[in-house]
Amino acid sequence: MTFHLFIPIVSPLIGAALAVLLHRQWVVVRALTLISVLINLGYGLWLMSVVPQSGPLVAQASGWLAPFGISLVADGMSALMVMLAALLMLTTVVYSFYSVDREREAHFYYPLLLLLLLGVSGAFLTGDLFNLYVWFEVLLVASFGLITLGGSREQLEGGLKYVVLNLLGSTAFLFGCGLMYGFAGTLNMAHIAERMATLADPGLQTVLAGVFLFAFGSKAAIVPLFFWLPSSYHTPPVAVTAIFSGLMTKVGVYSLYRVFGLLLQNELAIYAPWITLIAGLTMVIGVLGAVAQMNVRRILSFHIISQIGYSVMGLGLASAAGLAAGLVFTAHVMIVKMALFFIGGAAEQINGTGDLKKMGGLARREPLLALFWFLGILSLAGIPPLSGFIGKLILLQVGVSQQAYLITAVAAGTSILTFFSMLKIWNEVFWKKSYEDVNRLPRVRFGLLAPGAALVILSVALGLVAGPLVEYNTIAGQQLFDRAAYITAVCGADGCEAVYRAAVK
Amino acid sequence: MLNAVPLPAVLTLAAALFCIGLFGALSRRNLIGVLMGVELMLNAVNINLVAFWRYFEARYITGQTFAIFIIAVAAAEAAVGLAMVIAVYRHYVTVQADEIDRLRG
Repeated sequence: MTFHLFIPIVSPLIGAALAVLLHRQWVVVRALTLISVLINLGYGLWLMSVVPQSGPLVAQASGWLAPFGISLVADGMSALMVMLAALLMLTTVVYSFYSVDREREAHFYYPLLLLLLLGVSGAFLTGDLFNLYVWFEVLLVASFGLITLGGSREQLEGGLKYVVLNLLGSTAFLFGCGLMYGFAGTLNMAHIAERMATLADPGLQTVLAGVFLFAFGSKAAIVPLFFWLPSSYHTPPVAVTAIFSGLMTKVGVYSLYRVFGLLLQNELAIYAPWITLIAGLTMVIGVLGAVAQMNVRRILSFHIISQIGYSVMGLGLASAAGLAAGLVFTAHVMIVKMALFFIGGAAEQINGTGDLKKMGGLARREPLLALFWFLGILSLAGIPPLSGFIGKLILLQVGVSQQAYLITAVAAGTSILTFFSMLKIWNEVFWKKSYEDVNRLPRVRFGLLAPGAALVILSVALGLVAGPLVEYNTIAGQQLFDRAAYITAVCGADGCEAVYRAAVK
Repeated sequence: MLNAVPLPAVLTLAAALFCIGLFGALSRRNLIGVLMGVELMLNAVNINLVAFWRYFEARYITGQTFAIFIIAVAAAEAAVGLAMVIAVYRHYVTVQADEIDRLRG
């Protein structure tokens, strides 16, 4: 039994509980937050070093056998996501130390961040569809708190859209769970995967896949379900926007990968053309949406949507190689997107506004900030030798090798549009002369620069040393697509059905 | 007893309730009405789960367990949702969704 799989769930849970209890001592709260995030990060790194060799690790809660109890499963994709979630949370926490006001800190800002990490880690590790729903709710309730904390008019208005549309998405997910339970008689992922092979009702399976595509698609902000994202993401503090951009939509992508890669593999083949179409539309509409915007974080928000298109493209390619390529890209974009939010946010805090027309002159005033921003946008656009190049190259290679020429062309073309759109921020914020005296602006503090800079440096490093990342994700993609190995890991060599039958007798 | 009410009848009830909830959530302007619509949808799923449990898996209590969890989660959601409605009301002195948008800037 590998009970250590509970560590990334228990550590933020205890951290959050203690932080609520001791919320008057802000030093203690900060230390607690930092410690639990570091524990998760260390554990995630260790998991990533173990899982490629050992195959999926499984923990059964309280020792209940798999189809009956609650299973936690860590395969390559889960381990990568748990590690990335902790890493991104670490940078967010550091950025928050320097940017979030005392008022918010006193009103449980850090416990909410930890609860968000709890929900995200739980969602990545669970081996049960119903538990996935519960973890979604945990992270959503935490995010509801984070997005409205402070309660300004703008935040309430954005938060309202965010809450209502996410609740509808969750309900659709739950509806899918109910149907799946009626169809397969179980919600344990391994057990569902096993029964899917024997249950022959293609019509119902297609409906189920459609419901899940809608539910997770609305979380991942694919076309046409993305409207909640750009209307709410620019309202909370920069640190909150950044962590949302890194984690929230990616949990939706993860769930799409998990459900279509493991549970509904047969349906993936049927849906693949549609998923690819959605991916292409998401890329293009996201990037075109950014053109009309004149606010740093609004532009970046639209780009989240555009990048989600690439991740979904990996799913649309419907093969282990496609999923692996999608994973590499998702890992890259989580890092770079957050870096850009941090740096753009720092520029916003210096200028006191996120309106492009009122900003300017920062290249001369803050050369380091400008340098890292430029490296970041190069990486996002996919210029070698940065990580974005590797992520896009592998996706395009798989696309060409599977004769998916149209989506490959769209993906390549979108990169150029992305770069143009990012150059707009570069020109307005950093390059053009400021209308007012830049010397009067406050200097950027180290704590605002460091998180974004660290993530950009990581992106450069991943681009230069791409071999291990690609190898890891190739294994992760194969593990994700390998139903038999997953079932064996969770339920034993005879499968879940055997355990189930033995218990029924 | 089990055959007195066939499964399709129960599922139809759940589907109807889900549609009523969805219609309410999408069409109501009053925020509390929207939240109530979402609650109706959750309850429709509960009916589904319990029905599937009763007709397919009556030896185990999985379906009921799911339903109890959903009730707990729905309560948490309602708490957060209503807290937000109160915050909105304090700011805008209305809970009509369209007026909240119109009062902007």
